[in-house]
Amino acid sequence: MDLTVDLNRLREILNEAEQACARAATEAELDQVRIRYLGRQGAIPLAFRDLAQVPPADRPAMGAALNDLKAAVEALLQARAEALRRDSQPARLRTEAIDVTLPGRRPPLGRTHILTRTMEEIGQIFRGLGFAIVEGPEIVGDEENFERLNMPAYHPARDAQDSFYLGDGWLLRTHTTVVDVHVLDTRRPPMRAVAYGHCYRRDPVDASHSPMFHQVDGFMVDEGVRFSDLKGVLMAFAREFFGPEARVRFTPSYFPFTEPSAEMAVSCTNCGGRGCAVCKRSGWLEILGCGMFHPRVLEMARIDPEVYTAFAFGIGVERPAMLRHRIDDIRLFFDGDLRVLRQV
Amino acid sequence: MRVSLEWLREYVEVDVSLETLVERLHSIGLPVEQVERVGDDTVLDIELTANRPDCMSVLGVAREVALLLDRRLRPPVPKAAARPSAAAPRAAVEIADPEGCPRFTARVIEGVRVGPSPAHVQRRLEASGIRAINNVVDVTNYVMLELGQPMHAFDDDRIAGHRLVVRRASPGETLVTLDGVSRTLDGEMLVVADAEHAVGMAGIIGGADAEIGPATTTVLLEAAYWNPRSIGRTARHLGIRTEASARFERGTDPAGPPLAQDRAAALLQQWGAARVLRRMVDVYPGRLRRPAIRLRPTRTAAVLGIDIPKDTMVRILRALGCTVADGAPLRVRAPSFRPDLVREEDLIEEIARIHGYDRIPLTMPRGDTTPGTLVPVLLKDARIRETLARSGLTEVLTLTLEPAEAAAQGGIPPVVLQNPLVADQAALRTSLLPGLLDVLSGNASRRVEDVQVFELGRVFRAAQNARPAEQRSLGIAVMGRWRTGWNIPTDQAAADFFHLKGILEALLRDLGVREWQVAPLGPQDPWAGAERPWWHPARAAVLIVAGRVVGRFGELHADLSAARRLPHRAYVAEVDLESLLPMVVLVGAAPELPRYPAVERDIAVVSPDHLPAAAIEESIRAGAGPLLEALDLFDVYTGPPVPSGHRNLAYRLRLRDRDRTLTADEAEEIIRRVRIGLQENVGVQLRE
Repeated sequence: MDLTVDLNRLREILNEAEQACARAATEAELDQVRIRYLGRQGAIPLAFRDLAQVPPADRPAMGAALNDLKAAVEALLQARAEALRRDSQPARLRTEAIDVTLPGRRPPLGRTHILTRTMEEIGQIFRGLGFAIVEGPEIVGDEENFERLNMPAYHPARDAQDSFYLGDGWLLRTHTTVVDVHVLDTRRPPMRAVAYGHCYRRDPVDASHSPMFHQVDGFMVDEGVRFSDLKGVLMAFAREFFGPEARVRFTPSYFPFTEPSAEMAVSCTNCGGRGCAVCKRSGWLEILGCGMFHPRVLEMARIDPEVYTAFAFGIGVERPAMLRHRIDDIRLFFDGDLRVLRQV
Repeated sequence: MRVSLEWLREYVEVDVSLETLVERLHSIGLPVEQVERVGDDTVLDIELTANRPDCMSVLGVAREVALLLDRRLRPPVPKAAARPSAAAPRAAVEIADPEGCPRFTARVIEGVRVGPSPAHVQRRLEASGIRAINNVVDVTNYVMLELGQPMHAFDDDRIAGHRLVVRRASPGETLVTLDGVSRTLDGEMLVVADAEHAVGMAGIIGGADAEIGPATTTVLLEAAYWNPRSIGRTARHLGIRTEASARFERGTDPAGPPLAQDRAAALLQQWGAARVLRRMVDVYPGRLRRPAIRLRPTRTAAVLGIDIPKDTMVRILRALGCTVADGAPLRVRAPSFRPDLVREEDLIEEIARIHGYDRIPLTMPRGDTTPGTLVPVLLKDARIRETLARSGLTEVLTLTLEPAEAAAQGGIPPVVLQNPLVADQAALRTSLLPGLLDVLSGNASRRVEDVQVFELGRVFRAAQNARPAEQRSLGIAVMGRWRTGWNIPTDQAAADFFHLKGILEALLRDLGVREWQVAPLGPQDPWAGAERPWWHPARAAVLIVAGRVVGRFGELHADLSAARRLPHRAYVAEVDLESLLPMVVLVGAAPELPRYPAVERDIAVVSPDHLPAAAIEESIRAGAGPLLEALDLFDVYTGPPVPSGHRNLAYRLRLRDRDRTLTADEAEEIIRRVRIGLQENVGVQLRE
């Protein structure tokens, strides 16, 4: 055989393949082209088989030419395949159209209870002011809950704290102030502590009373603690919790365990102090009771009131949470209604 | 305390607007709850604190207003005719318990014509919230409202021997009081008795026997000072609160009884309702005297944080009725009508109150600021809540009070309330589960059927002769779909046992608890063997940490589910956090990332249904040895070709040597050991 003729033949195959590729309009047609040239019975494998009949001297050249041809055809097929894919992609992707206005599949989101978050937030604020966040038992003795807070038996102030009794002198704590007593007994001044949690009072249930509710209580004992410090610390708390525009007002009040005693009101969160239904037109919302610890309370804890003075405060948790989230019935906190709890 | 403005003006000039008056009263601790128009009059409803009995009268409030507005107080002066008359008393009084009754006055009035009192008196009584009855009863109420001294009127003809004795009741003594109730008394209670029997509960309520009636012609008026604690005790034990007891238990003015007697007698005379006033009997064995209180101006400044000039302090204290002896310290004697002023701090409060709380500056505490802290247990609580919320659960808070029978389940002795308000809040919970079931059924009844909730709170247990025990507990309840969205197959969305178990596994992992096991809930378990078991007997488990059962979880028993009409199967868990929290490690260390590739091999194990997967896993781990990095079950299959009574468990093993690349031969060797182990230890074959 004549090597030149054979090499020409290979060139023709390449030309034919090039035209066939160009003619192939679909991936299926291109597959046919691939089979025609590279398939088992295709032109190029057949040409490799014919290599045995090529004179040995020409074989290396012929073999190299065949390999080049194969690589070239493969490259042609691949280029054409890519071109075809590129051309058909928009149409193909169009068939994958989805309705983007169908609703998404939301991951399940849980959340902690609004009262938990409110207590933790208040706790965080006081922690930032140097207070230790502590806790204490819900079941306490009459002595801790009342006597140590200067409320002996039959004291009229006990009327406001009608208790659930459990026998043997135990009762459910009526305020978290009782935790102050535990801390006063177990630590030494200077100290700043805050406790929060359940409290219980024997009040008939209505939209603003629940037998179980929550309080945050705190106090600070040191040399030279003043009423003005109480005002400053609680003002800092109010600004942090209710916002920088909040104003506060202190008015005289009475708690057997503080002297002087005060109520703190904050400018109405709803109307900003102009007067509305939420604040009963007064512009103010009473949110906490406070005062300087009565010297008797310190004395009973074996702390010398001549050396140390102390302030204390107690905040009901439900009320600020109700104001913030526009909840009008305290019972909603405790009946596990997910329509509410998943929203607030 | 309801105060008629018209009445108030009799004692003090009020020349400011109502709005200003209300505002100023609030600033000295007398907040006005409500302002009400009554005819031509205005009534202020003032919220009084328990330390201010002096303000439980129009005159008392007028005293504060006079101080506030810097006006002169014009107290009522009994008319001359009411001066003690020369007529012999015709009443004898004996105080058998001077501690309970330090002072008792009595006056007999003759020629009484019982009838209505004057219209303006009736109006003032009614504006103050007290019903007008007749002139004799009305005068006692009128004087009480005016001066703050409660009085009582007896029909003197019903007083045996015209003699009154103040004594302790004999235990079991009975008395029918004015409200028609028969009261049984104890030996601590004080009564006012005549020569024969009790005619009134001292300082609280009169007896029905000596009640003033239309036929009454001779009246005995009583005005006394009672020991506040004694009145408080009796009122609470008898469950009565009257206008009189409310004043006496807070502490009235020991100087008040004679003034009240004279005022009442004068009024009755003015109204033409009395002819002869006999001399008043005043028994006051041990004169009560207020001790002087030392007041240091330096202490005042130290407590308040404001320097108030000494002159100002003296002026305020004198305006309050105190006598003040100048010096360092000041020596202050409080007026008899202010029982609340006993210590230096009480005076400091009065100075601050009148000077104005708003004039005290805002300061921050001096001295070192220490960093705030949080007790670790609260930090752990917070982590648990956060992890469960990330798992899609919503926190609930339920009442810790529940019906006694609910609390008695599970065999734990409940803490029972001695004075519950309602029967379904009669005991403290011993478990979080009853409350969580209420949440499930409550939501279901509101058509919220997909519920995933948890509660972290305390459960309680009665103790013998000790403070009842409180334990932190965690409860979880899931029901319905936990994933929502269209075309999510139910079997991939509905909560089931393994969803609940997965929540617990994720929680334990997040809390750094590595070693734990799960075993079926045995019939001996107190929560399984109870008459009303909580869990499906074949779909419940115990969680074991450090060899100790710390929790139980599983499918809610069908009976409970049906009783609560739950729309889907529910799954509940309860974990004792007191046992779990000590194992919690909040700060995890970052793992050392591998430098050599892992080899993964899948194996399939056909095993009898009754063989727990945990046994198979344990065998695989033992067989594979330390190079087994992870073992994941990815398929559980029953049905042909797996023989019946068997299942096919498919596991993926990830093998890795941290120090070099593992060869295929070594991996094969490990799988071979796993195969042998499964055969020898649990008798199952690897499917080839």
